[in-house]
Amino acid sequence: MQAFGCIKRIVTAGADAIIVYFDGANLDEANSACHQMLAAIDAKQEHIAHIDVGKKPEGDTSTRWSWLRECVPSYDSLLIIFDMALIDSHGVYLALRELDAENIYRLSTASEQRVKTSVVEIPVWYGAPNASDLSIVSKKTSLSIEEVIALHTSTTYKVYAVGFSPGFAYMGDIPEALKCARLGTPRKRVPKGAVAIADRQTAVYPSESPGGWNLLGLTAFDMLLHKDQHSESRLRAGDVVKFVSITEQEYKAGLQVEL
Amino acid sequence: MRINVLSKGLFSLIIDKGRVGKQREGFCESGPMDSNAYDWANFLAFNLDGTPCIEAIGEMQIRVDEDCVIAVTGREPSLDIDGIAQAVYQSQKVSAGATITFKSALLGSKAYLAICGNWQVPKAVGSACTVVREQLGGLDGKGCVLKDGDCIEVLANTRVKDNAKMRTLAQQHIDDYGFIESIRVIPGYQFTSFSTVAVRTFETSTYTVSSSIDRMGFRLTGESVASDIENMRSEAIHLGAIQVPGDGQPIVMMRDRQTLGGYPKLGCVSPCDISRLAQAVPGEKVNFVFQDEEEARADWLLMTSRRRRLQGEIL
Repeated sequence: MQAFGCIKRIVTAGADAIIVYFDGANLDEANSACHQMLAAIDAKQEHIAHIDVGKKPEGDTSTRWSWLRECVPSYDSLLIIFDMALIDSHGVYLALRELDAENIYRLSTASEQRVKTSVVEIPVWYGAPNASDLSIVSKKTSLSIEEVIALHTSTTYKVYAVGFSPGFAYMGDIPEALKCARLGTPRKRVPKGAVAIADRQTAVYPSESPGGWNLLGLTAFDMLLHKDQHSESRLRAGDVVKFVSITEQEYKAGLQVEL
Repeated sequence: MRINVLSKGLFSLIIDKGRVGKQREGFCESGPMDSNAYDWANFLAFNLDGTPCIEAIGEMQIRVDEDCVIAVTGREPSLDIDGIAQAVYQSQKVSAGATITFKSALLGSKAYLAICGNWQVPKAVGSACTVVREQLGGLDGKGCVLKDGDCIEVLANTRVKDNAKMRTLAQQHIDDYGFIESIRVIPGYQFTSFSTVAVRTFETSTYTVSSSIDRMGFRLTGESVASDIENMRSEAIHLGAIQVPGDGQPIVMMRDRQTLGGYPKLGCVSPCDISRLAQAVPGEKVNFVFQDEEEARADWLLMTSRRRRLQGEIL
């Protein structure tokens, strides 16, 4: 399968899936290209779903991607899972090529505008006793604890991918000076709401789980939205996030609000 | 009708087809470990595809308080009703108050119990599937596995008439769960970054199913198959993906796998063989053989059309 557009490589993942790797001058660009293609695929499915609801289907319904089972994006790749009874990988490849390049472009500018208007603020109680590796991070980076906090809150971060566990958002890039390796031995239990860094990435643990990242503090910001029987991730890939430092009292007050 | 759990066995949970379209938010796919057995159980119990059922490890015992139709499937499953052995892979009429005991003959394999009717279990993120790690699904919707004393509500299915012809899958058509035949693998993902030697080693060695097997993944032990990749970006992990961490020991990723991961992968186990592998128990030996995607698709189309034909004949 020949690459095209901002695609670097397309390879087989399994019998019923291909994975597309995107190109770009840096990770940010490759990540954007990935999400542009995903948005174009989603828009196509929605458009067709809309036609289905109407009484008189207009346009070419044979272009419907009824074979599409699921798309799973990550940093610079997109896994596309299809129904083998309806299509083979070559058919999927041709469909991707046909995705209107103009359509992808239009969507990308629209989604960038959306992103610009919304910066999600995540309040963090840095140094919370049960979620603090600040002294370890301080040693690893040769920065003072105050400098670590100042650097972590100094810039906005992009959500590159959501995954691993529900609502776990991989954000980056943290300042080079703050870069630090994962813990040698992962913790068995990281508390819910722990704000953490590893390499050039930062994240919030959406629920209590094992984890090997360096913890900076706690947030009351719930990474999952719960409505009745439905939960969804609060952050989406492409969202822009900024961390702000708060006190223990503010954190506890925030916890009440979230509950 | 109420289904009372008298004995939960070792590990039993409510499952259905799993969560679709939510992996991008980090929710795992979930679903039945052995989807072949799951599909047959529902078919034989007069249920629609995708109806919840129970996946059980160990011997499970339940009691029903109304007449109903059930079916038990899986790897070497057994069933008895009020202490009398009954055929598996077959619709079974059960009278009100009867005690149903079922299990797989192999400790670690799963048996599936389907009960005809409309299961009154909550859907969490679009599915009743229990995922303990994600605190999702199951009876309370919060990821609890079944326990003694639990009670499942199943409403009678009025579509099934009393004189409906009971369904049986003939012995010779029941899936073969042995490992004499190799497990088919489609080369994919980082396959080309593994050396020729590593690929040959993987294909010619026998791997042992370790005791680290669960709904997330099956860890195998055997000849090491290291790749040259030291650092890669996390990417989506498909069902059956064979990931190889630094120690060179392959892990086959199963239904409850994490959605993203950063270990190099050789490819994926064929959808035709994933159910068989999911029923393997610690200590069993498996071999792998590579197969290109066209062949894999042809095999899969044959397998599904065979199943449809069998179901048509049974109806």
